[in-house]
Amino acid sequence: MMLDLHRPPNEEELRRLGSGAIDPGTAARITHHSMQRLPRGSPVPWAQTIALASASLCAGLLVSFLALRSDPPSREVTPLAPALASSSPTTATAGMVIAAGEESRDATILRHLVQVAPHASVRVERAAAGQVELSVLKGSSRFAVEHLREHEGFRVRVGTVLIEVVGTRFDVATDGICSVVGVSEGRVRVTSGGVREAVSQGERKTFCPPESVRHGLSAHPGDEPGTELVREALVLISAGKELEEAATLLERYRSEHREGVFAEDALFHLCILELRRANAARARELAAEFRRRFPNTTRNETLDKLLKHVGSTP
Amino acid sequence: MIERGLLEACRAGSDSGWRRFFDAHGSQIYKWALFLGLSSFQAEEAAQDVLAIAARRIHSCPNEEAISSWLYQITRRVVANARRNAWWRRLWKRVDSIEDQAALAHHAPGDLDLELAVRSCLRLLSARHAEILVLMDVEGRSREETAQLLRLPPGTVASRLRVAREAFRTQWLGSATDASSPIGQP
Repeated sequence: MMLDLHRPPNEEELRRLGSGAIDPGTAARITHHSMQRLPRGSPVPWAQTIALASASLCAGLLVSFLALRSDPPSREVTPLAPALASSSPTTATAGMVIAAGEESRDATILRHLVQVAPHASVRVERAAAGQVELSVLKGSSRFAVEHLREHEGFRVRVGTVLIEVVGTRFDVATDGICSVVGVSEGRVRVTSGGVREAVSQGERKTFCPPESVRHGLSAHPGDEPGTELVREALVLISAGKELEEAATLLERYRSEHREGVFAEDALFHLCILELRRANAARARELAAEFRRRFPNTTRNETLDKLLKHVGSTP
Repeated sequence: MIERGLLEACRAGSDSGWRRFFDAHGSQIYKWALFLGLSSFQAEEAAQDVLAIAARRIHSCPNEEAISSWLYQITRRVVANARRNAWWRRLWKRVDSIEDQAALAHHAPGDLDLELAVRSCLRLLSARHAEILVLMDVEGRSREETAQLLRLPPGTVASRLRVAREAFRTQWLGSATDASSPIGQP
């Protein structure tokens, strides 16, 4: 449908937007995650709650005392996967890269849930014997970590930052250099530049490596070849500076890693970059190549939409 | 459609009750969040936050008829917080610009351009104008329903709607003529 920008939408068009159903996968995810966050135990008036809490504390102390004297009891854990109907999470194992396309993607690792945002990717470094270790390669991701038993661990590496889970629900995002950690429930421990600090519920902190480290550590061990070029280019683009340098880096990636894992991203961002640099002809050329090489991605629609504003699409 | 007994089931802590509650209201909350200015990823997170708050405070919901209005009040606050946080994060640059770019490419087919353009335009209006347009013009609610949801007198709703429509029209036409900032781009 061609959009007429010179005419505000009429009543019928607006209603059509309002009456459309949302993506079933999104609806299922909302229900699923909300069920996970359901407070356990029936809410009762405060006085009773306090009384119950005191009783629970005593009982807890007694149980802890008994537990210390014997083997830790095995805890019944509800698996996260079955609740999702239309977008059931995949089960990820060590070595896998969970890469989201145009839509976010869910995956279970052991019994924990990872939600990878559109165009983000996460690599599973380790998933065995209760130990999970992940690397966020790009974009943002959210983690719902089930209760960890004594011998278990859940760690996330993002750039030069290591996040160790102490409690439960958090999200991370990276632009390739700096990392943002936000905790919605519980607490995580973050190690950055050798310094360890806790991020508590409701907090969101940004961790950037020192300037001297940024240049030397732009490539992480185990990264796909050329990752650092794309990463650095995206950082420059997101800062809105040195676009020429960013274009050079993306072109370099394209010439050195034509079939690389970030070939699509490099071409897509390069096309947008050329538009921002007002090189419409070059942008059209790149968009045509993008369509030829990656015909099935909805990024083509995004490029069409952007190109529409500078003239006819290729 | 209001399901009788749902509130009681939720208050009693029934898992199946909560699942029905989330299924019944999750999509609506997501759409509110989307049209009130959040990206699809943020809207999904906001919907979960709203439902988590609802689950904690279900005892403060007076009755089944009031669920929508009660949830809408929570959604308003959660969306306002999310937009404020996003503003701070944008101020610090980094990360969000990448997320926004991803969100731009993440949407349902069909009235894609129109939806993005309407959402962009609503985002530029004041919250009280945007919400009245979303409830009445996008969702097609009556003046009385909207008044109940917003806890405003129906007369105020009518006058605010008139101003909001005018603001939307001005914003839309202004964006259309501003070649440097095309509608639909973040």
